[in-house]
Amino acid sequence: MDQCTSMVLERKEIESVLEKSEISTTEEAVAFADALTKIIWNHNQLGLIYDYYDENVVYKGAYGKKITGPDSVVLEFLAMQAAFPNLRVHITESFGRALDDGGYAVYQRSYAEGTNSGTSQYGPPTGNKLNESNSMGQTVYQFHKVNTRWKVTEEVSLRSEEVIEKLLKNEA
Amino acid sequence: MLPKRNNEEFQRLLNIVKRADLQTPADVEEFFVAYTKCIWDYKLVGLIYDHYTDETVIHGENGVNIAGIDAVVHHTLERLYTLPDMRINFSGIHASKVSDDEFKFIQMTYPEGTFTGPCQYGPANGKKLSQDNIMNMCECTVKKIDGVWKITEEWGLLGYKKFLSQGSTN
Repeated sequence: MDQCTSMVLERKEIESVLEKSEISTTEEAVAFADALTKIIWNHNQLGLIYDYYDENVVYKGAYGKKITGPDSVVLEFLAMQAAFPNLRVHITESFGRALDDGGYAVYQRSYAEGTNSGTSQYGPPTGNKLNESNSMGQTVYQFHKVNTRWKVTEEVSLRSEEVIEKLLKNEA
Repeated sequence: MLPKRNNEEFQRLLNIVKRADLQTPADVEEFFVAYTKCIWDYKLVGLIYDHYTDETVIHGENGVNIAGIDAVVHHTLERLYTLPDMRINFSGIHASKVSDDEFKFIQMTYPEGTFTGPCQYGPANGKKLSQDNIMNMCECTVKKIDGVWKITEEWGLLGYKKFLSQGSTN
């Protein structure tokens, strides 16, 4: 099967999970988080951040980073995807819990594979690679139902930032 | 910051792209306006896989080609990173039917956006693209392959290099 067909089929399967309108168990929350991570990161559907991230979403990252709103999240994610255009995130562990306010928290541990073949804030592409041994990531999503749609209201995420910075600066 | 998303337009364009039933030149023109804007204005970069092939070649200026699907995705992400508030405006689009399974079209567009992200030509300088300083022309061959309409070859004169290499703001 050619790569385009494979990507489209994979994406449509993910879309079918996202389009379900209700999350009522932690298992469904975990599946939703899995689908959201994959469609944004493995399928570069950055525009869907406006559908699945709340307008007041808070994103917290390494070194005290705190950004709010979908625009900021789009720019944050775009920087990483432009630097690693063939990025694939692999989720290796995930679990969720129901929150007292009716929402869900979902944890994911993951690793990324990809090559720095695009320009980054640190300069020209280095050709350095992310792999299972150097790119562990940990993310906690909080989802709440906003009007009729489940959305990310908070995301806390770390992904071996020191390693990534060294790769992009070619200091690895 | 980024332009406020027009949800009504987004849904309308996405519905056109999802239908993807090209029978007349008018269908092709409507489809590729929607497809272009979904990818660039609304950052649905993953849609590239739907209507390009693994082997599509984009012939660029000065003999520089973008060959293969990975390179097409890479190019798109890099351009969006450089000009994240990009909007593509259509000056015109004209399609011609070659056969029931093939069309050709030419689109004339101008992007609007602000050079705020780094790029291969140098650092960001805050300059703005408009119809006063850039025009893009893009020709595509579109073929129905295994029931799916695909851009098999593309020729584009875009003019970004000069704009992105120009140095500090005026």
